[in-house]
Amino acid sequence: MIPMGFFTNLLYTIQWQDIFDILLNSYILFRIYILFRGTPIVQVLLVLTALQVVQVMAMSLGLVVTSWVIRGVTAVAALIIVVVFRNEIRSVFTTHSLKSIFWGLPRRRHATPDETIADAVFEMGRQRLGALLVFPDKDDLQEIVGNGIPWNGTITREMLISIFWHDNPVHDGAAIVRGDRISNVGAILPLTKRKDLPSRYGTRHRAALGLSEVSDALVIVVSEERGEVSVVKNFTIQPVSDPDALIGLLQDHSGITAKGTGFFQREKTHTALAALLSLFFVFTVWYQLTRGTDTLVSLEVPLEFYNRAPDMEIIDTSVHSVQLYLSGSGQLIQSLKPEQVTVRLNLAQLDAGENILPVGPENITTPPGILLRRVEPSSVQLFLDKIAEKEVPVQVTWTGKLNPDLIITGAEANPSKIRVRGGRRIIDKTTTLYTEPVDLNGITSSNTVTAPLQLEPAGLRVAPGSKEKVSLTYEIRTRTPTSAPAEDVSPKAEP
Amino acid sequence: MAKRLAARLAPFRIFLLLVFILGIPVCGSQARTEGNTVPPATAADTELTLVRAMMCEEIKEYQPVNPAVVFSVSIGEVYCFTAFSPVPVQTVIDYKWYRRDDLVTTRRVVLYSPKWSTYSSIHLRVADIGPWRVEIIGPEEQVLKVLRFSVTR
Repeated sequence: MIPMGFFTNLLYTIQWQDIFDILLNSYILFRIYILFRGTPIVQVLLVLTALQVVQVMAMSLGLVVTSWVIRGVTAVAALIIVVVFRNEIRSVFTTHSLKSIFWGLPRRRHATPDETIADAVFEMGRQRLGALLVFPDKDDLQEIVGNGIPWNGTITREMLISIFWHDNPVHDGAAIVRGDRISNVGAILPLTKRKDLPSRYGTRHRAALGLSEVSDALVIVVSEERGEVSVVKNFTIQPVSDPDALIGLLQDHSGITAKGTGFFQREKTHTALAALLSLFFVFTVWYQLTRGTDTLVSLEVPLEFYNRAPDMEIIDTSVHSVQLYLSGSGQLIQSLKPEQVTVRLNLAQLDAGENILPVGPENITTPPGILLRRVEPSSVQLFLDKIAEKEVPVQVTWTGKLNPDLIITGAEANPSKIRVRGGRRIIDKTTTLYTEPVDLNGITSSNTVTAPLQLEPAGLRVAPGSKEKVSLTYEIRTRTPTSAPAEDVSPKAEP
Repeated sequence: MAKRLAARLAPFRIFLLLVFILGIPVCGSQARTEGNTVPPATAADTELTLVRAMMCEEIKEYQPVNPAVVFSVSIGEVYCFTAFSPVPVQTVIDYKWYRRDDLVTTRRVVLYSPKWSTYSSIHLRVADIGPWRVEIIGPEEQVLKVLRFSVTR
């Protein structure tokens, strides 16, 4: 009995991405089944699914080697399927249009044109043309009659007669009838080992009986010598005297009732069941992945801000990142990437000055299946200010040690002033823009160098259109041994 | 008559001598550096005008020695030399010394009419290494000049 809390919990925690994920993968699974049903691929996939279940059980029981072997087999299964069943896969993709691969149900298996077959069979009997027609049921005859020549032609009275015409090279073999088409001709059937058959039964009857012994197929035999028509099924040979009786037997074999609706009803039910099973299977996998064993992880996520007013500037924040405590299944947590988790704070409606913004689920995005447990800190202090610009003088910052015999008598930055931008408070406090330190070591003569600017404090930047580097020209003079009063040199200065 | 005049001026003799000594170099310096350091004064004679300002390593004979923009902390002291002409009335100016953008000290000096040269200085320590500026502030709090320099090892 599933507890009520299961559904309540599911209802409150499931996200639209989960629903889309389940539906999408269910549909893909359903399409794979629809496209490949009737081929061995579906059976192999079922075996692989069973192996997965066994592997989980083996792991839980502590059967390490068994679990390891199964995991190894399933790991290479995809490659094996592609290699072994390449013909089936190619056949599906070449015989279906793109639309039919993704949408719509396959054409209903056309009902066997029983009347046409019965008419042709009795006509062949009249003309003493020996014939062998195989109607497979649930058993796969691929291995038994796989040696036939693929034909895949539509059934008509004339074509059937021409296949078994005396001079036709394939007239001695059997024709395999699937729906309204003949899939193979010239197929060699296994002969029965029975010794008690009447002598009037020739090779065709023995072959038909041989096939009925190893499968649930129905076989129509037309005797070449006597023109008799017989139906062979379940180890028995049943002579058929008229076309109506043959039609009845064929309809019984294909499961069509007198009203003719049972077959199609069964098809619909089958398809609906497949769709439901696909949904159930994917839901189970999703549930195991996302609601499985709880694993906790902590993640430091940087803050992102949006909707900042164009004339506002972020001056400072109490923190630049927050610590998130997340939980989820082991697989999801292991595959979690930091960029999948975001913390975005909306700056709309905020005023200049100090603001306190709460950090919670409303501004944290996590991938589906990952749950937020805790946030530290739960709020962020944010200082905003109006953007302002100002032109400030540039001053060179020197570092190192100048040769004691030299004097730098002048240094001029070009441009001498730079327009900077930032929050009003920062701009008001900024009176000078300093360059990155220019090294004095090794300087011997006047020169011009390029110096980048120090943009401090954080939030101060060069206004659009202004340079981020200045050209620095300095003048060097050799120090005279005896100090003398200055004559005509002076530092550059501005009032 | 001459004796009486000499007797009247006796108390001011030292003051007059000082004005005479200081007045000569200021006038001479102005003449030599005109057009080099500070744009020629265009204000009327009644307005205080800064005609020369520079950072230097030493003041000798009322003149700046080794003007520069980079000073090693090893020289021990750095000077801000200024010359005013005219000084219409006795007044005061301030030297505001900033290391980076932090005000370190303010020095106030008196200017005497009709011309005056003066200076302000600070002692250098290793902790003073970095960019500096000196703002010369007039009697009405107006910035007359900003001199920028660096103190290095």
